[in-house]
Amino acid sequence: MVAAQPKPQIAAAPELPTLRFPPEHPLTDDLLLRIGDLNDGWRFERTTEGALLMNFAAGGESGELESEIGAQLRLWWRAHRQGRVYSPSVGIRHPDGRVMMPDAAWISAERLGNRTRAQRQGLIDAVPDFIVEVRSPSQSLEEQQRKMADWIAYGVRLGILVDPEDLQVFVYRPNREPERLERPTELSAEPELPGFTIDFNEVWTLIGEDD
Amino acid sequence: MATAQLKPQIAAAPELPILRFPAEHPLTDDLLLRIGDLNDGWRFERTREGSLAIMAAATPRSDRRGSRIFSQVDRWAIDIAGGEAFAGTAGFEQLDGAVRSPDVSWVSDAAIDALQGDLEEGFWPLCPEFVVEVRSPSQSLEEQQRKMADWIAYGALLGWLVDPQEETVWVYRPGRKPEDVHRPLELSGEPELPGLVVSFREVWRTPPADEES
Repeated sequence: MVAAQPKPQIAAAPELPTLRFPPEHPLTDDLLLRIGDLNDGWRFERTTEGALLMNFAAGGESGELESEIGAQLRLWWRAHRQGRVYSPSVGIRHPDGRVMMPDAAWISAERLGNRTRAQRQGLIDAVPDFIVEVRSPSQSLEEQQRKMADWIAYGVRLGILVDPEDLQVFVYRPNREPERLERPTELSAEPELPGFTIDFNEVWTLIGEDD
Repeated sequence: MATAQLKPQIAAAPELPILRFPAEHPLTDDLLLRIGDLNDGWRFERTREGSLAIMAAATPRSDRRGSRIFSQVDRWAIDIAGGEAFAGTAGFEQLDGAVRSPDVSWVSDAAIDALQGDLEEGFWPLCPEFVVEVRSPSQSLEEQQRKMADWIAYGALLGWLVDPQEETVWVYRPGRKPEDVHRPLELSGEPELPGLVVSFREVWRTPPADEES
């Protein structure tokens, strides 16, 4: 008997579906939030077209970098107590219906305005002043750069894309070309976040050099 | 149940989500059908918990194996047995709320006649008498074996789990342990399905890329 020897072959990871919902059963804010509650291990966003965008939970390295940058942002907030700082699991709702989850975000008091606690508990419909995205190994740089451009188009004043793969950082501001920095040691977020400097040494240290 | 030894395998495909829906916004039959309409390139089933199971489109090889079996079952239905044979995408609703789409299935005229309502609309609330599932490379054998056990529990009289990786067909019947048949050239559906004989020659055919080496 000749047993066929399957050649070892790496299967291309199937992309996750962007699940379209019918207009008569739209993916409402409430349904999006509830799906998030019920489905551990996944992150959900909504596209401009109202479709459910599914993402794998963050990988360990991206999660660690997000946590470091988020902690630095939180410490800055402690000293200034202006606006609000959000974790990677917050949903930001844009006027066109798209819901995005930045890896870190700060929204000024002016942009937030007065909100009831119930409003603060739902999706946030204010545009962050500042967001950070950390590229994970499964995401292409182009994809993340498009996302950053979208953030700026929605009204973000300062956006930082951290690319741990190539130890580089892209700084986005309205009406300017993105600025690329190679392995910066620190990065000032002035003037948008007065007094805030990201200590990137702490970030790169986490990556290590095992290969 | 003894399971066949799995050959070492690189890169298990990352799992796709089984999307849970909230009780106040359940995944209704209608929503499941509409999601299927709107999302080409994906296949959807409903679990007994009411969740949306999302599956990638079949690989061409896997689909062709199913098609070769389907065409023989369809011919048998037309020439001998009556009833209707289904390929791939037909959804059948089970009593526990699950909606499943076997790769190949057959439903007798008697079962179809017993249905009430418009046969053109909605998922048929029945379990096909005969069900074939073809394991694709991204599916684990255990997962597929559970699926076949479910089919028998739902009421299938005969189930074949075709595993091209192991070149084995697992034959499921109610009240019996699954029987594994290694690389059969043909398989009979007797006694449950009189006159059905399916050739597996084309199903086992080694892919051309391997023949060259």
